[in-house]
Parts: sequence; structure tokens; C-alpha cells
Amino acid sequence: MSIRWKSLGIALLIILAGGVARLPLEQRYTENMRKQQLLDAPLNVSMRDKLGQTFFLAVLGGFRSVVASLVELKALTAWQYSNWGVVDENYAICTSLQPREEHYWEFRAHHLADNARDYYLLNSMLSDASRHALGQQYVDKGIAVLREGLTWLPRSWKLCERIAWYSSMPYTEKRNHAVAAEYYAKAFEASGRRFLWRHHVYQVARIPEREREAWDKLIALYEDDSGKDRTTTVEIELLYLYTVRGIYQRHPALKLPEPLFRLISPASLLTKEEKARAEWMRAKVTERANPNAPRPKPPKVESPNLQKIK
Amino acid sequence: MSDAPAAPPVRRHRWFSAGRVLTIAGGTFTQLVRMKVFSFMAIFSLVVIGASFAFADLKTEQELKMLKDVAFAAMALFSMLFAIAGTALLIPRDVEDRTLYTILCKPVPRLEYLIGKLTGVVWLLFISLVCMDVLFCTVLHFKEKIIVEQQLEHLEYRRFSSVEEREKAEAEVTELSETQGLRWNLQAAVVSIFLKSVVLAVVALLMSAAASSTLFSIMTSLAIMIIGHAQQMAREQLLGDSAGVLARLVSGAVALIFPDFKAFDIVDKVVEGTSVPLSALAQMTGLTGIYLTLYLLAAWVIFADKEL
Repeated sequence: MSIRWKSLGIALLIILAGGVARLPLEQRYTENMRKQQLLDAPLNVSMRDKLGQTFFLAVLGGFRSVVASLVELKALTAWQYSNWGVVDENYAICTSLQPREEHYWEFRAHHLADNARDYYLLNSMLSDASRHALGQQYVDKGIAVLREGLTWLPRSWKLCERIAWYSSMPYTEKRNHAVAAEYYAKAFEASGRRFLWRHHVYQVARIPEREREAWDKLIALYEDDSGKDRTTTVEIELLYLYTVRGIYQRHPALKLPEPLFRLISPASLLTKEEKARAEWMRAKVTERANPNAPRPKPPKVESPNLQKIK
Repeated sequence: MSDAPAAPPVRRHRWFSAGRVLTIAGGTFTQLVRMKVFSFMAIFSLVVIGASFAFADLKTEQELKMLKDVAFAAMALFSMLFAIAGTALLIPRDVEDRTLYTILCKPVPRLEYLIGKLTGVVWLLFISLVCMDVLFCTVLHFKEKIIVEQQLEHLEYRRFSSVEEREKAEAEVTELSETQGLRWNLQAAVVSIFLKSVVLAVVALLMSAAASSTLFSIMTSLAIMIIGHAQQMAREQLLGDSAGVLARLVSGAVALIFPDFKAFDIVDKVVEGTSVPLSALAQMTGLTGIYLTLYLLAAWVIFADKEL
């Protein structure tokens, strides 16, 4: 068997001529696919150093998602040793490889703002000041990661919800209810899930300058036709604004809904059930007013599911 | 008048016959099946079923993602290997068995022979991908079902501090089955793997037509596959303004000669949950058609002139 070099030359010419013709088509196709977020931009050279040659070649060969999953497994090993720098580094690779994978952003932030924070806050080897400073540093890092994630996934309700939580949770020293309210509202806008809107309203109720806005929103929730939004927290917040914050003094037109108003009426006017409920609500409102006050120990209750679990 | 039977009508030889192509394709498919290529299914089953249990310690979302990652990677790897090794083997084996001479001594144009061989490989790729897809979808369906049931059971026993916390947990379970579960969108990834393998097969056919050694064909096809994954980068360098003359020459050669294999890499996006519109798949099929025509034509030019 032998090949004629002339035919080889013609074949090469066909491929080259075809290449010239298909080049603009390929480019248009790639741009179109990138616009639809179906193709990624090529990896930069710095990623090659971070990934190592084998992983880089695998990524180049179209196994980006598998490599990201393997790097995440590496991060989990580092997590077991509380090596937070390596955990963050590995998750940073995951988020660079698959920036539109929500789960990587969520977990990267979780390891920083929850696990690393607790690790430092509970570290008895550190001074009190260092513990708090390091713990807060990791919470801030976690929030920064989530904000970066939102630039890739602006419609992610989970990332918005996490920012809102980390900005308002009891374990942060920079509690910012305005930011939390804003991000809960964004999360609701992205997903339409009602519990996110209720969280938004609860956060607004914690901002002293926006009490009036909070009242209107709480009343809207209370009067919701389906009744799903009339939660105990909504009732507690209304009672708190009315009785503790005395909102009616600044806005005399505001009226507490009748069933709630009955709970703050003199005990002699209440039925037995109402009295018990009023007492429980009063305790909850006091707890809301003094969140740092020591809580009474809950009574020991055996779970009805215990037998089932056993 | 004599009663002599009329002579049968003379059938004119057609320059292209789909029947002849299908016969060659059928023979090729049988030839490949006899090479016990389907025994790979045992390995694939082990990989997929193993992956469905191996990552049970991970969070549910990760577990399903890992299963999809591993299964799609295995599908891509197997079909790429089939496409290269299967096609590169065919012509040298036909020469070795003398089957090629038996076919070509009949009025069978060489183009038909090449198209027939390629069609046989494409059938094999299609059937093996369908088998892998069915197995993968079954495992994913059951895994998803088990995980969702576990999650719902967990919700029953878990103590929530507020109604909102419960609603959030429920929303996460719903979203889990919506985004990470078995969806039609996953089939787009399988289609993209198939189209990529078809392009790889035609490249291997070109190499096989040009060279007489199987090993050479396999090695060069593998090299083309690797370079083809960087074709997009080369093309963008060629069309950009920043590259120097030498860099432009090299990237120009890569961009014009090699196919763009990255154009088919939508699997990651499908795993992420991105929806693939039909128009995107149609464009991808169109691109495959262009590569197919171009490389098949080149293979025919070489093969038509080859002394066997």
C-alpha cells in the first residue's frame, strides 16, 4: 500500500480551504454558545499552576466538572484537619472551574463563615481578642465569597439567603439588619418563596428607623387570606412593636388586630386558653426584647418519635 | 414469433447507492460487535453503580452531582476510545483479512466503502451510548428517589426552630429533585458526547486512510483530539490583535486544520443545571455535519488514490 503525495497535498488543501470557510462559523457558534452560558471561556494560565498538569489537561479535555468534584474531595480532606486555608484554596479552584455551580459558592462560604468561625471562636489556645477577631474575619470572608458568587448567579435565592443570614446571625459581631432585609427581599424576588419574604419583614422589624414600614408589612402578613403567613413570629413581632416599642404612641392611627389585642387585655377578660396563650406570648415578647437574657431551661420532653427511631 | 423469455432489464450501475453503504455499515457493525466491544458495559455498570454508593457520605447535592460527573466522564471516555480505536482498526483489518479486496473488486466506489465503514462505527457509538444512557438514567432515578425519600423522612424527625426553617428545608428538597435529578436536559449532554465521538471517528478514518499502521492512526487521532481541544484558544488568538507573527502562524495552522472539540463540551453546563435549547443542539449538529463532510472528503481523496 502506498499513498501518493499529490493526493495527500490535495486533502490538506481541502482541509485548509474548509478551515478558512468554517472559521467565522465556528467563532459565531462559540460566541453564541457562550452567550447562552453553554460554553466557558478558556482557562487562564494561572489556573494551570493551581491545578497541576494532570488536572489541567483533564479540564482541557472537557472534564471540568469531574475535576471540580475531585478538587472538592481534596477540600473535604483539608476540612477534616481544620486546615481552613487549604479548604478555601480548593473551593476557590472549584468556583473558578464552575462559577455557575451554586453549591460550590454556598459550601465555600459555609466552611468559612460557620466552620472556620466556630473553630476560632471556640479555640481555647487563643486570647479572647484573637478568638473574636479571627472568628469575625472568617464571617466577613464568607460574606465576601457569597457576594462574588452573586456576580455569577444573580438569581440565586440560596446565596442571597446566606448573605442575609450571615449578616444578621447571633454569631456575628457586625450585625446589619438592613443588609439582611435587602438580601432576603432579593431572595424572595428571585424565588417567590414566602418564607423569604417573612424573613425580610422580620429583619425590617429589627431596624428602629423602619418600624412603621415593618408594621404595615407585618399587618399584611397577618391578614393574608391563606393564613399561611400568619405565623407565631408575625404575631410576636406585632406585639413587640405595639407593647415594647410603643409604636401606637408615634402613630396613633395604628391598631393591633382584635385577637392580638385581646391577649394584652386584663387577665380577668380572658378565657382559660387565652390566658395560657397570653402568658406564653408575653414570655416570647420579653425574649424578643432582651435576646441576651438567660432563657429558662425547657422542660424535659421525650420525643414521640424516639420509639420509632429506636 | 418465438416464446423466448425476455432478457432481464439491464440494471445500470449507480454511482452512489445507499443500499451498498448500508450493507458495508452492517458488516462493519457486526465486525465490531464480534470484537466483544460491548463487554465494556460491565465496566461502565461497575463505574456507575460504584459511584452511586461511593459518595454516600457527601451532602445529597454533591452525591448526585458526583454520580452525574462520573457517569458522563465514563460515557465520554468510552465513546472517544470506541471512535478512535474502532475506526483506526477497520481499514488495516480489512486489508489483513483481504475483505477490502473482495469489496473493492466489485463495482463499489471507494467513497461508499468509507461512508459504510463510518456509518458502522456511528451505529456502534449510538447503540453503546444508548445502553450507557439507559443504565445511567436508571441508576440516577433510583438514587434520586432514595435520597428524596431519605430527606423527607429526615424532615419528619427533625426539630425546627421556626416555620421558616422548615419551609427552607422543604424548598431545598424540592429544588434538589428539580435541579439535580433525572431531567430531559441530561439527554443534551449525551447528544453532545455522541456528536463529538462522530467527529473523532471521521478524523480517525482520515488518519486510517492515510496511514497503513493501526498504531500510527490511533496515536495521531489521539494527538488530534488533544490539539482539537485547544483549537478554540488558537482560533481566538488568530482572530485577536495581540499575537505576534509566529504565534499567528502556529495558531492559524491549528485553527484551520483541526476541528474544535471544545465546541461539544456542554456536559459541565448540563450537570450544573443549565437548560440547553434545541437551537443550540441543532447548531452543534450542523457543525458536526461540516466537520464530517470536510474530513470525509479529505479521507476519500487520499483513499481514492491509494494503492492497495
